[in-house]
Amino acid sequence: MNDPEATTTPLAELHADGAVARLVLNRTDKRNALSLDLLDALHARLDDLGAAESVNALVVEGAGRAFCAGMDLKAVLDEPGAPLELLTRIAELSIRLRELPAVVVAKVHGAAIGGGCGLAVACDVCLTHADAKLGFPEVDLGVCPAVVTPWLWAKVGPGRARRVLLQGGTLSGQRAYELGIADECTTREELDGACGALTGRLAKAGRNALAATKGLLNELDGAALREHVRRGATLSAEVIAGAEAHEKLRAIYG
Amino acid sequence: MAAVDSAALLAGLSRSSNASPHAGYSPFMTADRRPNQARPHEHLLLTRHLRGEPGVAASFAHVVFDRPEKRNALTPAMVRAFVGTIDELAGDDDVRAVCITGEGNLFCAGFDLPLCQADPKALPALLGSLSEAVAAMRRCVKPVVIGAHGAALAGGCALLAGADLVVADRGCKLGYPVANLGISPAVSAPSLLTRLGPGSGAARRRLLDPGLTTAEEAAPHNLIDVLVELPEDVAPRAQLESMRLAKHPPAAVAAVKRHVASIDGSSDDERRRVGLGASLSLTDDAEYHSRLGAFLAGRP
Repeated sequence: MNDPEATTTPLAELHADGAVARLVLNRTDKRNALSLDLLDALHARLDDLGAAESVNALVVEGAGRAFCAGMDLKAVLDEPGAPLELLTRIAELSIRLRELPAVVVAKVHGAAIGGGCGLAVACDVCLTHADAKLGFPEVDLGVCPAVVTPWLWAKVGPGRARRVLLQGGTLSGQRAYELGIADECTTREELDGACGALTGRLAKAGRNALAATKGLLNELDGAALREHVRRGATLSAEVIAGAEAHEKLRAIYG
Repeated sequence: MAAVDSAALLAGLSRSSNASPHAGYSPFMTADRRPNQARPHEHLLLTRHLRGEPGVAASFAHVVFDRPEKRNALTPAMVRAFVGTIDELAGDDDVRAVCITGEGNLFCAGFDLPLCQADPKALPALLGSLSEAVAAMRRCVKPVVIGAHGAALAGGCALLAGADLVVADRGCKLGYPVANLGISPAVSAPSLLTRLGPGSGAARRRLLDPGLTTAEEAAPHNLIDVLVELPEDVAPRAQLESMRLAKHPPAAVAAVKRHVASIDGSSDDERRRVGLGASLSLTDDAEYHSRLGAFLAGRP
């Protein structure tokens, strides 16, 4: 791989091992908060994965203490246009993961907050542990989780999506599992094993059969879902540009 | 649903099913020759239990997959006969509910795979008739209850999505391991999404993960409505639930089923066609042929 990042610590890593590949968020000092650089690196690693013709399963995971702490809003708050850029890249990343022919598994340890939880929900299967912290505290910050909303709506249904998104705050991994945000919930110690068991099953399955099934499920989602995700980036950026969000965010970021 | 003392009921049921066939008529015997019994297919047993017969509080029909030596593996003719039976029962004024169970150790292990290997037309025919079978249960204006004991795998699991109420034992194995054979369970996606929704997460996971789950684990995701402890409890409980549903006024029940089907996508033939098409697209695939061959060669 001829990658200038490779000489320093890459913000995102791709490890391919036979039929199973791993996409690792590696911005550990910021708990893998989604910055423009990290999102660029994740997109670049997916470019490397290419058509993934030999991959049945892609695991998305975070290095360090947490899966992903959410959008790194602090860095972009004062730059006009930058929040929209960030949100657009998150939206496009979620759509790319959904459209890969491989089955995409989010292995959520520690925490998946806001946009990070949104990425996990856009994956085909989300695994977590009971004392992980998941959720969408966007409204608490004056932010609208508009990129995430269509994915959550599709996954858990309108009633639960309303409740989760409008109440803000965070949930335990166990509660997220009960609400259908996560598909499997283990102890922290058992998470790797559960993920390995799932990817082991997927590795043995027929790739064409998996891809046909996923393609059909995406078709039944409807094309409008992806358009809602893209439109969500614009909507969310508009809300972030408002006085309410600025006041709330400035109180946090100083 | 009204609370019942199921332990007492089941105790009563097991007494009646253990009784000698000569001791009296019981709706909970399926394998013996009885009045009002027919065989729409060699492997399909149909019994009409009519109100007024001993132990029958409301008229219902009982359809049994009866191919226990092959774990009730489905053939195209068997599934087509099932579709014809459900359609016929839907128009039979003497029947107020339909109960479906399997004979032997488990409800249904899915398609007859040796037949699929021997006859290239069998898999497409099975996929098409399976899609019809689920649609027939959905359009049936009478409540449809499936009692799944032991295991409901692949095509057998797909059938559950057609029922209005599913009874299963806690340990009943469920799932779609067919991707291991290079077969896509997409044909089941439209009905499973309806059954497990709102929200597509549970259906997406179940269809993409070739692993199996149990009825107990699947119950919170709406696939199973009534859990019983043991496999042998399933058929009696399914018949009991059928009788209970059969007591309701049929015009109101029919109106509810039609109305719900028009809202939840059950009667959306285009969705069904798209799902079937995705599964059919692989029936000539090299991956399928090599995997099915390897699987059957490895079987004892």
